[in-house]
Amino acid sequence: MEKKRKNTRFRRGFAEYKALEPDEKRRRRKEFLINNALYIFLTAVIIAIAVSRPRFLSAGSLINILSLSAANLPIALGIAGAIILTGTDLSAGRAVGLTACVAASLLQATGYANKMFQDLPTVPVFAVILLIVAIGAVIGAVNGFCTAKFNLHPFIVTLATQLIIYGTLLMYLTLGTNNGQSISGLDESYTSFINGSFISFGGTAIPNFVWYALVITIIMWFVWNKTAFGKNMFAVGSNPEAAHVSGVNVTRTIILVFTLAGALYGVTGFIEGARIGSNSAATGLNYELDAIAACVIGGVSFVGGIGKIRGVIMGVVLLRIIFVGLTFLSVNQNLQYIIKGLIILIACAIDMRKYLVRK
Amino acid sequence: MKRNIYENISIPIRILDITIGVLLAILAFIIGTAF
Repeated sequence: MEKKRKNTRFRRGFAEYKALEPDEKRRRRKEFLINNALYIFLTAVIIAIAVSRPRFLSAGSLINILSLSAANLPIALGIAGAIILTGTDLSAGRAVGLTACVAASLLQATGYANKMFQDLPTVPVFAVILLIVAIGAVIGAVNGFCTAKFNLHPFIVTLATQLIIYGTLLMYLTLGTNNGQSISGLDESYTSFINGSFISFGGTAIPNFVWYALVITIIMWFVWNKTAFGKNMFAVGSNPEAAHVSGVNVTRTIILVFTLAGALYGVTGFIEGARIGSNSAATGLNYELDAIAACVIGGVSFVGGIGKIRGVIMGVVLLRIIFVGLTFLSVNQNLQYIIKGLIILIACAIDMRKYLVRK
Repeated sequence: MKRNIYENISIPIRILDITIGVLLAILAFIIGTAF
């Protein structure tokens, strides 16, 4: 039904386009090309990489791209909410680091020589998930509270909280017998829960956390598109005054958006803890930048109130494909930062251009 | 009469167009050298 409706809309759009004057047609074509310049360019690069390095399209490589994307998807979905409110969240990476280290420290194998808390018995994985998500949610709630109540820009609030989280993380790592070391030697129940697999593709196992990311994405799609909270989030993002006048509780919405984002950082931290296997203070470093880049590429606008879940997914996957591809081309790691920066700049310029045209 | 979308805001959009073009060219050059 939905597909049929989309098809009809597409046909109608095409018929409208055909009826236009040549000048207008040319203008529309130009607009389309500029608005999608980054996608066209990145697709061309991906095709070129696939042609010059056929191993790029092997099952192992595709599963690698899929699992790396899945690991980054929850954090990107969280940050997307903050961006829709015309904000951002710089504390996301550090929140992931803290939650990953807490999860790892609670789920170290009993009998492991360098166990952080030597007397701690095996904790059930689900209890740790709840705790980790709660820690993330508290961090998010603090961000949201300061943003909404003190009327501060989330940039400065989250800049402050990321420092607080980092300090807390460094202190946490000195607890027990750890003395600032990396936390490894994780319990089998934790690693198999995240890295285990029950489906293989082309002989390569698809890790479980890919399915968790999928479930989270479906939940987030539902929250964004089918709940009053989701509608309020977009309303506050596009015009907080209008939303307030219409009866939306702006403060509550902002706090909830950041709390939800924090919970998603917790989920990412829990996944990363087992995925990486050895967690230190550097875990999660700069994750927020990748997530913000993915959101911007995926069309979540810094202007506010604009963004789609499918855009975030596309941004995350596209960014990951490009960086796996660049590794295939043996591009210098330092150069990859420059490429990432340029991609973000182009995405922002295109976003601003779309906004100006609409205005 | 056709609506000119560049009305009043022609300069910023042109600057953005040029910026996007220049940045894409730099990116293409950097990635191109890797092949």
